[in-house]
Amino acid sequence: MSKGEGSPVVADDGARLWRTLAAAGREATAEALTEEDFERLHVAGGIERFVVERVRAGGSVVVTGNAGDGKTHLLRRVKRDLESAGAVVVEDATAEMVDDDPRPVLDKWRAAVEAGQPFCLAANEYPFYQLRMSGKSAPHMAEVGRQCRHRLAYGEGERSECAAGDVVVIDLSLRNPLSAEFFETMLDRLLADDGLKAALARPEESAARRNVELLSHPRVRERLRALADRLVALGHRATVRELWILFARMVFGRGERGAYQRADWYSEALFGRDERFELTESLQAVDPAKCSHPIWDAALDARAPAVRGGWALRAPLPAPHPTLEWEDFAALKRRFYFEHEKGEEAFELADADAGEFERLLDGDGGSGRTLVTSLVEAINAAYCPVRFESRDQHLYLWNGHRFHEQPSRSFVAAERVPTEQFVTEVPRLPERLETCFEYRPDHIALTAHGHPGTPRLRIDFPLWRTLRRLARGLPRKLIPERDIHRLDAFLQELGAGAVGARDSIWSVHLENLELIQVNLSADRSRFERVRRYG
Amino acid sequence: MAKAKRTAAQRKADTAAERRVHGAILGYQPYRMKPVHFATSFLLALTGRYYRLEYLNKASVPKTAPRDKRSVQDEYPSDRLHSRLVDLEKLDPSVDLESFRTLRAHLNAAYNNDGSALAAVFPPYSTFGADYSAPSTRYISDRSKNHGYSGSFVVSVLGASAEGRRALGNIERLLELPPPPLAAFGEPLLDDAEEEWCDRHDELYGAILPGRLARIGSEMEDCTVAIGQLAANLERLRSSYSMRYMVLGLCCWLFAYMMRQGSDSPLLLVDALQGRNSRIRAQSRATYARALDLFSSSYDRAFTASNGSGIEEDDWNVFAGSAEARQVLDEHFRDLGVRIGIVQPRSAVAKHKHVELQADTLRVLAYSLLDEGQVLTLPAFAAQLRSVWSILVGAQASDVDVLRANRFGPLDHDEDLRPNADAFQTLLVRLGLAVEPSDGLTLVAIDAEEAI
Repeated sequence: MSKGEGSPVVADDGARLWRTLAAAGREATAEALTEEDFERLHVAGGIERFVVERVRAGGSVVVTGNAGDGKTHLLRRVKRDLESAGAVVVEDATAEMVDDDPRPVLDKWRAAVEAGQPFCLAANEYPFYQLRMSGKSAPHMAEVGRQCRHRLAYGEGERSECAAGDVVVIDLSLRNPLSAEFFETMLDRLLADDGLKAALARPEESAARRNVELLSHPRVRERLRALADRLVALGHRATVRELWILFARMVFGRGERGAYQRADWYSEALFGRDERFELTESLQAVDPAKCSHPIWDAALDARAPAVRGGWALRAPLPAPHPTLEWEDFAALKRRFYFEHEKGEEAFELADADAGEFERLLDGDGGSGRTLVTSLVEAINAAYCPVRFESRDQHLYLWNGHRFHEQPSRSFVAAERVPTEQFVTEVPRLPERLETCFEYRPDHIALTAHGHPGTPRLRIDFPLWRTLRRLARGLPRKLIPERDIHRLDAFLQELGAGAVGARDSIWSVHLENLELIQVNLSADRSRFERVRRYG
Repeated sequence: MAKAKRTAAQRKADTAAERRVHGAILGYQPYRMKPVHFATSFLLALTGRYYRLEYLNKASVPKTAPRDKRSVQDEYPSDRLHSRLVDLEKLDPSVDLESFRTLRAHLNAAYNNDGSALAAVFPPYSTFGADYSAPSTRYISDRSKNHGYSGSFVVSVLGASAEGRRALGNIERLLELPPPPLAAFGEPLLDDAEEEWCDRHDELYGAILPGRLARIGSEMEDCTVAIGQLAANLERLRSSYSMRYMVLGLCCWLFAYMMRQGSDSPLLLVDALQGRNSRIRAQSRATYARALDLFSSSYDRAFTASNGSGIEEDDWNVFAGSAEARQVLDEHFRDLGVRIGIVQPRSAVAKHKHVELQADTLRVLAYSLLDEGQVLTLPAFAAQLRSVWSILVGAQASDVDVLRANRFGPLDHDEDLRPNADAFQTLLVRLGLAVEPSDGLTLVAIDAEEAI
């Protein structure tokens, strides 16, 4: 590899790129990798074809998303095709902007529109926002803004799903590299890399050779993918770069001695922490070693007959001591999950809420009505700890008004929305993007159809877990602030502008743990009935 | 030698003298004031009307019968009030006494949610006043005694500038929106007839001359613009908590005004790490302590520099000689800061308080600084927070120098301020006021997930 002037020249044995990635130093950044490196790392997908076809049909494309999502890389890959179709291509909006002034980009765009040329742009989230704000008076920007407000589609086909003009916005932050298709393709790419294969033929690479052998085993791959699915369901995401670094480490380790206990095991590399990468922190949530299983844990600890056989290729080396230290046990448990025929049972006693949520995202959530009533009941429980018979039949629009900073002493509702008006929906890519890339949902929505603005509660895994705990009796004061905010915002959106008869009031006294329903006369001049619950 | 006991006439004269001093220096009378007291005063001054709310008070203040049942005939005990409300056709006779008692407990929880409407204020009782947790202007009475006409003062200042009049217009439109559901609960107890409110501010504290109003309006211009922005956002959002957020915002205006009384460049360092970094906690306490101290001593400086600002020396001597009058200044600053969610801890025995924004307070401040759909980076938002509300979180590169220049420190940017800014950013994200794209940028907006 040739580096900058003065840098030592490192011989490329075919594994240089992967070792560089595993070490995750400055040389592993997009700016430092060569064109050849990018070619080896390139994961082909439908998105390139989508962009080129769109432009050939005369349309414009805006690719947005976060840093590391691969926007610039995508446009670079297809730039020749785009330009031959007559498109003006801006690979990086930030580079074109002068002192945060988006006008140079907007000028190019306007000129392209006036000349009838397709326009292709890659922009990070904030520069893209600046462009939208600066150019919002232009007609083509109105459609861009509209698509930004409808990045995902819910339920049956909506009008908002189609592109109204000749521009389409692709948000690459919706493409989670942890989603099955992308994840598998990347792993295939690594395992099929000729340079890697050549390097592994060397006698001193026995550990890497063994790791590649195991990572190629169908059982290990399937379990790896299951872990990735679980991460997506829990709301975690990764950048392409992070994932390459992780894969490279599973083959070669981190390039440091003593970074983890079993330095040459792919499974240890997977769960090694590195504060520079959020993915390594996310993986802690799905570490098999942290999920106890009394029977298998005891069997592994004692190296009982049940774990002497049944391994993908061969049993991991026996531990040197009769009793396993924690680190040795954790390493063994991880290998057990990936390689043993019964390994999936390692998560048998894992968080049931997580498993249930994952099934919901897969569209396997049981009856929709049952789910809606349980969600409505849990939301009511966030405000009213008193159990009453209709709390799963209506969502009450609770309000706890006070001026000072203390929690409310009571909540009052004068309006309620019948459960029948809600549906649960799993998001998907809108029709205009559905052939673009695979989207793996990380949340469900509780949607109130027929209400102005179609209020939608976005339920991701943390909120789902809170709602499940509320159903089991979680006290209000233990609800995370973030979840309280979401629930409040949803109730307020439902109640905005609603002026019902308000002749039936529900009041929950949080100190007395008492709920009453008060009926007022039609002109609201008289208390007619007071009913106590609980 | 023991001090001679003052006669009633002397006490009255001293009180009047103290009022004149407060009027000349602060513009209103500082009390141990909660936001609910301010809310009453502000809405009275803005609308110029009130409601008696006799039966709201009687129903929401549970009171047992007095021992002297023969000579004291009040309507507060449930058995008497029940029959009275039935007679007035405000309560159906089918509601039994036990259910009525329950209803009263719930009314109390709803309209005494701020703990300031605890007392019976109608004959034969008289108390320190009652302020209801008013969800609409129909819950505003004139029985409040603890606001010191602070609301009148704010309305006068706002009314003296174009930005202020715009803000008042926005607030008035906000009050015309349909009230939240809570407004319906006590409706049978409300009065149809409104009364005209007589603002005694000028009589008690002296009129604030146009020149002074204009000067204060100019000094508070940035905060006034922020209040107008807050009201405009609340009108658009149609939140059932609009009244709460509006009052919190106005109290923040008043708090900023007090800080500016004490210093030209006040500064409060937020301890977003909630005590996890002892240096941040110590400096946060120091910024609060200095603001309090400067506010306390602002009266002395104002008198010294007055030269004809209207403070009679005799009046000043009465004020300066009263430990209680000075103590109430501290209490006013401290209590308002705590009750509006800027200062912690709440406990009165806690000697050292620090600056820690409560969730709703931070939301109000964000709504006051951001327009609909506007997105700011965290440093840009932090710059606004510091410039308008004198609140510093450590998110700007210059914060360490600003603190040092104000003799707060030593704090290290990487070790102290950056983690503090990170914790502040986490709070913004938790409240849906910010998002973090993965390139290390934090973007702040009113509805961040939707706006970006």
